[in-house]
Amino acid sequence: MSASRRLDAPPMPARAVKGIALTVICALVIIPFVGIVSTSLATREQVNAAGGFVLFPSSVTWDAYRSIFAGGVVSQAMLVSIGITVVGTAVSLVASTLLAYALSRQGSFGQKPMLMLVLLTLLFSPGMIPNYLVVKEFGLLDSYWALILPTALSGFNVIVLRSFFMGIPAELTDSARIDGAGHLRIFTNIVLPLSKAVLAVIGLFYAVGYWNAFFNALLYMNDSGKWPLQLVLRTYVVNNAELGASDLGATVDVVPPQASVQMAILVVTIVPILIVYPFLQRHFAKGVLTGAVKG
Amino acid sequence: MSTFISRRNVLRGGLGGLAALAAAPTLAGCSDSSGAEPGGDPSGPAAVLPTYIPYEGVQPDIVGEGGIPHVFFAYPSDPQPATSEKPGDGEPVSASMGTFAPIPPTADRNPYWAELNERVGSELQLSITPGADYPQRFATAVAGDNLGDIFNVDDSLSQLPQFLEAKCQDLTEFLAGDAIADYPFLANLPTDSWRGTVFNGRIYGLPVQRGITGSQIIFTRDDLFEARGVDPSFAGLDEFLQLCRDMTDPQGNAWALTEIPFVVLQSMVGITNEWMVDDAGAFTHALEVPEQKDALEFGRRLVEEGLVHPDGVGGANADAKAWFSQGSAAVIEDTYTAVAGFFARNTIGDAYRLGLQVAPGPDGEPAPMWQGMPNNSFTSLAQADPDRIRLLLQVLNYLAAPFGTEEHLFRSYGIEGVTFEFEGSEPVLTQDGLAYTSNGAFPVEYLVDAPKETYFPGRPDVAQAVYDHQAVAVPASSLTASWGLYSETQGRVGGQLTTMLNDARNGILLGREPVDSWDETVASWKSGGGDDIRAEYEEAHAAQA
Amino acid sequence: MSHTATDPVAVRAPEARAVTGATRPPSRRHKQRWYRRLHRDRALILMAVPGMALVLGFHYLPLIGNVIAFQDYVPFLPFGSSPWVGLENFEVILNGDPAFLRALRNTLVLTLVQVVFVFPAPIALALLLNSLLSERIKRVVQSILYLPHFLSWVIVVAVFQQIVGGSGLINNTLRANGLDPISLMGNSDLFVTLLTTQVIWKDTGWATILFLAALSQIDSSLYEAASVDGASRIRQLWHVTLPGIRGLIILLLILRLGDSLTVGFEQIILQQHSVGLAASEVLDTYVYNNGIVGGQWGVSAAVGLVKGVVGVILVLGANKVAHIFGEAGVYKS
Repeated sequence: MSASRRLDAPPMPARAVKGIALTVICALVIIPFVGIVSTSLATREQVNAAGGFVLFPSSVTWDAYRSIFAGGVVSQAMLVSIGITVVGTAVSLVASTLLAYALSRQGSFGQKPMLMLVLLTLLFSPGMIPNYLVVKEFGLLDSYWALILPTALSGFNVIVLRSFFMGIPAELTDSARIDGAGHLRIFTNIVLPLSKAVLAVIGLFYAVGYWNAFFNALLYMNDSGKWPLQLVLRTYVVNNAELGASDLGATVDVVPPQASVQMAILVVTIVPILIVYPFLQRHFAKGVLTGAVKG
Repeated sequence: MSTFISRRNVLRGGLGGLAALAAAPTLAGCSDSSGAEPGGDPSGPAAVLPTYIPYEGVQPDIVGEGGIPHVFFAYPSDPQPATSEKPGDGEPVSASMGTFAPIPPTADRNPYWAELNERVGSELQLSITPGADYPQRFATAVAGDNLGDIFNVDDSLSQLPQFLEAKCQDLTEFLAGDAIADYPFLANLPTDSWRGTVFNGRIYGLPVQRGITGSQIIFTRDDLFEARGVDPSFAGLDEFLQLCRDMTDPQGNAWALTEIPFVVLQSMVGITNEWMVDDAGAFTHALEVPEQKDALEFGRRLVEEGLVHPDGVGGANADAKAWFSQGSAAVIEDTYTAVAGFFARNTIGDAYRLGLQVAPGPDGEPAPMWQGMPNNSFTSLAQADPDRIRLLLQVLNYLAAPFGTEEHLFRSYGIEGVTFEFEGSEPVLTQDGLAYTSNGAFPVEYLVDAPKETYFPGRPDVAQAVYDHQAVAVPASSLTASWGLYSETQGRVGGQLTTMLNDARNGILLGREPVDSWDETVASWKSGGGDDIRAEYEEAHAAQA
Repeated sequence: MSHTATDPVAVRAPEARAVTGATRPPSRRHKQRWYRRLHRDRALILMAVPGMALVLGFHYLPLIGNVIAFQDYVPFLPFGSSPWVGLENFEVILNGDPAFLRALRNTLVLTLVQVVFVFPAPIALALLLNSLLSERIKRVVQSILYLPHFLSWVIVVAVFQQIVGGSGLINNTLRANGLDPISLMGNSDLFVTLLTTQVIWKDTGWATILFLAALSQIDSSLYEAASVDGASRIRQLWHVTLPGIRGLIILLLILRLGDSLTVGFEQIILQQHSVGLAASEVLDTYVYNNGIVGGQWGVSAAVGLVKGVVGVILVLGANKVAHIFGEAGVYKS
């Protein structure tokens, strides 16, 4: 924290207002999440007494989690999802940043038509059936690539990246060119290092996109052993997990309440993001102060 | 064991049971399954229907007749195999279906699935989809010609009969009439179910059977009624209204109803089903009869007086069962299938008492219960040579093994000691068993299934009460007259009309629109396709007669 | 670290600075032949190849399938052999059906309200976070507020019901104290407010991320200079911070306008039944209720095409306006 900033710190009343505002905003978000975690850990008695949503659990049971992880389907799917997310994000970032750089060089060959093509992807989307036929023709059905390639390039992300790249002062790239550096070297040595913040953000956008995706897997993966986490868990959320068991009468004693299972699923899907997030956040949440640390 | 169910109401309703038949309304359901056998008219195109040959290898505790499921108070002891050889030939069998249970681990890590492959004699390659997403999965697989050997059919597909003809195997020669005797477990499926698989006079599928158990009835929390000193039974709409008032206490977060029980209300004002047909073959929809407005008026009153749970007034709330279990509502409209779930959610032990109420009609006799659809859906086979078709039918026959056979015990519960244990006479799935068998609802049950029997492990009193209710309600019930008939217009604009009708109905029930606005809705339903649908049903009905 | 990035998102006339090769506009275009330019820019072309291959292969190739907008599409017929029906599928849009017009009006009202209230929310939050002195509090707050983004609409609606529903926390408290409950969720008059509140709750925290990235690239020496000049914090905000992210704000606003005819389908369809179609039907739910439900693939493709064309007009129009005000916008021709 720089000394000059501390000197013109805002006056007390303004800080108090800000503090109260932030506390209220955070509470509005946190309370439902406390409820989600509590419900996932609540017993059938508590869920029943609360009518579904438990805010403060009086005792804790891990039954919902045990039930989700029984049989190994969920842990297998989690591995699939991690693999898809890591590989997919890498593919996406490489293709997107290269393309965004090419599109940021105004006046180059084919730059305008290509930019238009990328922009139009935001406005016209192909239908579900043609998408399926293309993936099938490429021979990608039941291949993990079917979960990566069709969504590997987001026009929105490319346009945002391009906009950030164009903000890099021309003097830097110009002088490098005069020194005889090629585009690839300018890209890797000048543009990328100056764009860490936006790379972290776009990387997060892609990663979260892959992590949350289930619909392509639903269409393209016949083999449920290759399903990603979100699709496996969808069978619990959109379906009534108690339903099958109810047919068998008494055996449902072993099945935890639906509300707990659903909330446990949320926790299971969100925790990996919670773990990764701080590492990325370092790059974009620093704010103006970091720039002051001059080399 | 104490009585979990209050029998009194059921028995009381039973007094007028038989009389109901005598007082049958002029508009009767097309299929009256009150006969000894659920049967279709054996003339005309219906002649292709398979002969119904009930499986008699297992003796139920109560034999259900007239469409009522058999009752088992306990799982039959020492189940015996009913087949002698494996149906498969070692070649893999691929199949697609939606499921409403969690997906099972794949065969390489699932002892149950592996054993199922072993017993079938062919590897079952299942392409499973969450039920809510199946229509989309199905449409893409149809476009990509990628359905596999056996597939559950999404009947909302446009031009369904043309699709069946173009892409699916005509099963008539294999299954019509007595030919079905080659597949004894398929022959054990009721005729009404098969009627749902006949298109243009040919059999194109196998039923995923449901039937009576899907009928909507009124359940009451009799323990809550007793605590307030209110009688949960009712002899008419007035009494129903009064008991709802008596059971409502908003300050204590208690309401009488989870939602508006609109199916039962319609039957109580005397509407016999969604589609009705008279002797001359003329079709009428429930929404056009004058009584419809009585039901709307009454439903509106329930909301106006604040007798419905405030989050349930709009209908379709997933939490309705939770409110009923929790006690913030004492009356719920649900199906017989829901009974096991109610007890599963019970957390107050023996104090919990569930009542199954027989709703009275306008004349005080049991109201005409609207029967649940005979099928959940149906399953078709990709076109193939006759030998392959016979083999696939044998596999499906195996999967439809009736309740109480050794095959059924394995299909539902798996392997003793691995996926289930016996507790007394009752098989009970273990924690791993639940995962391996998809909570006992392994996805093959959406290809074909044995008839659902009435069986509540360890709770014979519940089975008895369900039977007692059915014994009174089923004879007065009917199936919608459109069952087994195809209307192209219904396939094309049916969903759109349903959305429009639901919105108009909700507008009236919630007090946004006057009851008389219903006339306008009926008019736009008629001009928007309703009259065409009626004409197409009448034509199809005449062709079958 | 960078102390040179004065203008992170190309606020003004970026083509004056971005270079392609040895020569510069404006006469370049006519002097060089296309194959010489191709040769000159071959490295850039190669860099664009992987991305463009994905765009062409997985977007434009299947996009050809949108010809079903002019067909009565039958999924089980070989592709292209469904009957051609001209503009029949567009009828749902063109026939002036009151239900369609109602859906269009609701959509535009929602878009307007959301552009006014939802769009600025993350900007305000990002500025608020940015003004915090404690790095730790900033991070903690930010990583709490992004969480709701990961809840599906089903869950968000359930959470709202638990709190403001007919028997939610608030109404139960009111009733227990003998007061009249307030209908917030099933009330058609408050539907727009409800939807907007839900969107703000769910996505504001997440949407700040991009603005934080832009803020982090503002050269801190500008603040120091302003501070030395005695500029107040408000003036710093106005003269340094906002100009630093203005380009990004305009870019995102233009892209949002391109989506004007699209508003939260899943969110609305989940809550539609209790408030009624009159208040809640939007374009996407109208298409769903009238086309998709009946398996009319052609209709949904047709509506998609029309929405795309309207989007193009809005984006290019807004882009033009941005240029008039000297902004880079999204695309420079």
